[in-house]
Amino acid sequence: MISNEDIIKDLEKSLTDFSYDSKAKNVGYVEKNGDGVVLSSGLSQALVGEQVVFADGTHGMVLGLDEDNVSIVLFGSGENIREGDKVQTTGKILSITASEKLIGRVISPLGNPLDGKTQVKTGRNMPLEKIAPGVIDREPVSTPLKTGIKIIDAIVPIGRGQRELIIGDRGLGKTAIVIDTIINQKPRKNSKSKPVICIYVAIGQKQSTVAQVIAKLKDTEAMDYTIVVCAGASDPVALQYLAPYAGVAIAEYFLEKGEDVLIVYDDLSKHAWAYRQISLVLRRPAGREAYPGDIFYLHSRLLERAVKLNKKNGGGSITALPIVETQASDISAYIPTNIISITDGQIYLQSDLFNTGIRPAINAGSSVSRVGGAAQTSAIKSVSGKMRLDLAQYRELAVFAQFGSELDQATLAQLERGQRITEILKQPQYDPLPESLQILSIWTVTTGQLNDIPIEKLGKFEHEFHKFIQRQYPEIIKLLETGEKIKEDTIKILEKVVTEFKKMFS
Amino acid sequence: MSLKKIKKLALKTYSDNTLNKKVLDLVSKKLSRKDLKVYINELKRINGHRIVKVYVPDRRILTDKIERSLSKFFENKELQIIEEPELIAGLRIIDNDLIYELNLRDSFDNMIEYLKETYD
Repeated sequence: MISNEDIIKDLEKSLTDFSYDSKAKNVGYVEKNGDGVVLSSGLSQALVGEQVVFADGTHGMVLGLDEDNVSIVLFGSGENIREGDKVQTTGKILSITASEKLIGRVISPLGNPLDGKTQVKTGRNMPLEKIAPGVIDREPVSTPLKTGIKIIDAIVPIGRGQRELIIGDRGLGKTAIVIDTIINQKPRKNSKSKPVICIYVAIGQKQSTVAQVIAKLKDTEAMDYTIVVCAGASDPVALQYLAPYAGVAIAEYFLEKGEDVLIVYDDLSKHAWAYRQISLVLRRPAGREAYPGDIFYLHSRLLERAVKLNKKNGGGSITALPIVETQASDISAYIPTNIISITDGQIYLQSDLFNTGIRPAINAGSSVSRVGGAAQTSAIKSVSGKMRLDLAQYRELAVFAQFGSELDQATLAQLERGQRITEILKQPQYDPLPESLQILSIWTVTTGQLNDIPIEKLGKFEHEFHKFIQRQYPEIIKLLETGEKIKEDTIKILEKVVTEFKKMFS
Repeated sequence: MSLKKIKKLALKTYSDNTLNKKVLDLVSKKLSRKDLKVYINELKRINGHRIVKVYVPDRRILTDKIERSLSKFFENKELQIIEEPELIAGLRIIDNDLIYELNLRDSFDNMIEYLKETYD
């Protein structure tokens, strides 16, 4: 049992930072309360972004200053706030307490626990709004962030510090891609690369969907290095608006410690909807699709906080994977085009591909990575370059092949190769592959080693070949793990190994 | 009537820091019910700017010297002294929408709040 003396000592320790200085508080009175926004008189000293507290304990944030009144967005339901109630400033700009203790936790954008555990109160206060690091503090993206998904790591590689948009209609596997990426960040034995801390920000999603994601992360032990920030569909709109900023504020805590962080915003379309709702209630002028004029800045200032810092500043990084949901594959809508222009590339998921059984349903032609190529290892670069070309040629030829005219042998071979590449790039959900195995799969298909294997058996062949090589030739795996360009000697060994396996494969 | 005009009327109702009853009667008769509500609110706001409330635990601690210096500090404002034993020691001054907490009670409350926020 704790003695009284210990409690007093502990309290004294906690109060060491307490300031006894007299404080001037600024108060106001509620004039109007509706739709999650309160109009208040007074509060002449309030600042934009300052946290305020109402008489019933509900917190809010100042979002607009007018001549006579102040607009406050509520973090609670606000059903007990009535006209004439007192509201006072706290002198605090909105911030979240960040520390290592948050890892493995599910929290709200205000730092309140959502997993039934105790609140993390000790740590550093990180401001939700912060200007992104400038050009002097940054360095180009150079380290890969491996997703474990063959088509992404080979064709649209992502680097640490990059912002890569994942875009597509609902139900095509956008969240599945980011979950696989998070699972793939699990620290591996003898791995040279720095571990990655993952932050999953759920914005305006169904609680059941978030629960499924958390359960999957727990099953795969990914929660050991993941933080979930959740503002669900039933949460106040102000929390949905703040969620991504809370996530990136936590990411910045780890960034300042020189760590690499991966942050997922699932999704920014709902974030834009939340901000549109707040803006319309605040009577701000509406623009295209009724979004306010600063909707671009809303997302650009958020995504600019994704960064690769130079060594002088700790060398940490924040990689951002924002998700945007399109309606009827319309990527030319307002929010998708905005975010496409802000990010360093996009992974485009297409319903046609999904319906033909290609999973992940990534359209390799429309997906790009503007900076990720520099972060790719020489090994995967050397094998995937040819594949990208083969795939592009296949897509072009496939269109003409539909006319049913007679085709020459070379064209037929190219079509055949394309089909095999498409087949080998298929990957089941929650099964990310290490880079060495990805290289093996891509090498076998691009060098024509799989030409004599029936397409329908390619999946089985790949799976068993991986097992075979891991069991019989672990030295090849080790060699490929170094990331160095594959040498002639290695290619010869690989050819022998494939021939040996083919004899066994039935 | 526009808000700007009502504000102007409310300002005119106060002459030399006192409420001009003649103007008040005249204006209040001519305004509609809706505008009258805005006008009264504006008068309240102006009045709030004029008055400074000083809360003390015991009236006797407020010496002439302290009162003089307070009057000097809040020039052109009317001081209202209110007794509130709950404060224990010190003062609480309310100047329109600003509250200066210079007393033991508020310090304790702030300390409790701080502990709630930081104590694990």
